[in-house]
Amino acid sequence: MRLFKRKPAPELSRTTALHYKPVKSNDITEVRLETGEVLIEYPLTLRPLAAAIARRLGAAPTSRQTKKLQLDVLGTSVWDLLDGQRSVSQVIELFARAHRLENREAEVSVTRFIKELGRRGLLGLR
Amino acid sequence: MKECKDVAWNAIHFQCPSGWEVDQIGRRHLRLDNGQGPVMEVKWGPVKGRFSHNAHLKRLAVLNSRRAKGRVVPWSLPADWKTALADFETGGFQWQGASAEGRGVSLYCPVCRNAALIQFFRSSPGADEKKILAVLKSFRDHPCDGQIVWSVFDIRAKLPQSLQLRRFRFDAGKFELEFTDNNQTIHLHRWAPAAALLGQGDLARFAGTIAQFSGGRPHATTVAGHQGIEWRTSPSAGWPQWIVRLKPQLSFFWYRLWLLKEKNRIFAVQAASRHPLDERQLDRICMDYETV
Repeated sequence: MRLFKRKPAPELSRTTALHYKPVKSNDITEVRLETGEVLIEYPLTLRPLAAAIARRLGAAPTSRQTKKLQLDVLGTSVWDLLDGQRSVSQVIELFARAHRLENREAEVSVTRFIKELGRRGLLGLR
Repeated sequence: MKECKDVAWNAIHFQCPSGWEVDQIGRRHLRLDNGQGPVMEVKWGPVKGRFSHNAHLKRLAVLNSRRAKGRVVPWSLPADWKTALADFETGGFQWQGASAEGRGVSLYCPVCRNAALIQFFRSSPGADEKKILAVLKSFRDHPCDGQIVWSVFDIRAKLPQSLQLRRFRFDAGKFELEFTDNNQTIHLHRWAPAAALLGQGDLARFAGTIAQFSGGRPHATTVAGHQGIEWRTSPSAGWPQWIVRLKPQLSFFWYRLWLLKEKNRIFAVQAASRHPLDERQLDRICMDYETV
């Protein structure tokens, strides 16, 4: 039995989640490739144990590890819509209109994309 | 904008407001959502032996008490519900849970011996009486012309009743439905957005990027005025065609992809069999496979 049970995260309703505004992280650099696609470079956050092992293996304590992520055409078109002012629902609507998709299908793609970028620390919701 | 739309899935067919969208789908289960929450649910299946509304209600009560912690009680159907469902034997029920409540009807069709359970959730605004009645009036649980209509999300297809749904997949950007009868397997595909998927290439190049479609020698065709490609592979005529019938593997394959430019969609039909395929039937399936 766990002594300190982790509190479950508060449940966010779909309507509330769609009203949040995705904001890009300040720690990233983005490069526009010749194909028009976007390449994002972002800092890698090591877990304490992994960081300790890296230090033991000789990594400088101040060394900053980065990772690169290249977005495809659809990822780039969502990325370009994220200006920090638009809400998730507005991004979905614009994305659906641009690609002539059903709103629900666009919602699944866009929210999955935002979730994935959020997991990597590239985006936050405001 | 259209006020209502068709929903058709595995022999069930009804009309609902255009704002209601399928949010859960199973072989014999549909749940619709109106953007603010679940608004309607349908379950159905064949009945063996005698049908009893009470037995169904008891089963539902057990399920519901586990899930929604609510109590299901019989409910006397209003006269207009009974009129709308005059072709069926009906029994009403209602339930109340902690956060939602609902009412519904269990139906039994003496013609096709199918039972269905339709319920409407009350917690969701928008499911008013007029809309509910329209849904019930349009509800059908068996086809009349031997053709089953499949209409969910933005696709609509019409297939012979002999083709049974085997598998389906609705992912963002890619839909796939697989049907089978004793002789053949038919896959319906839909991809979107076509412009992004094709990029600078054409349909043949796109087909080459998909494992199921790679390796053919496509030639140009048109499907209902849309540009497309098709090809087939089969054992050479004569004795090889007879020998393959003894093998368990499928040997006859047929592929057709077409582009709906104005809708930004790519459609495809793929068929496989151990016997020569009925291309006229495949043509009809392609003609009836469209986007709505």
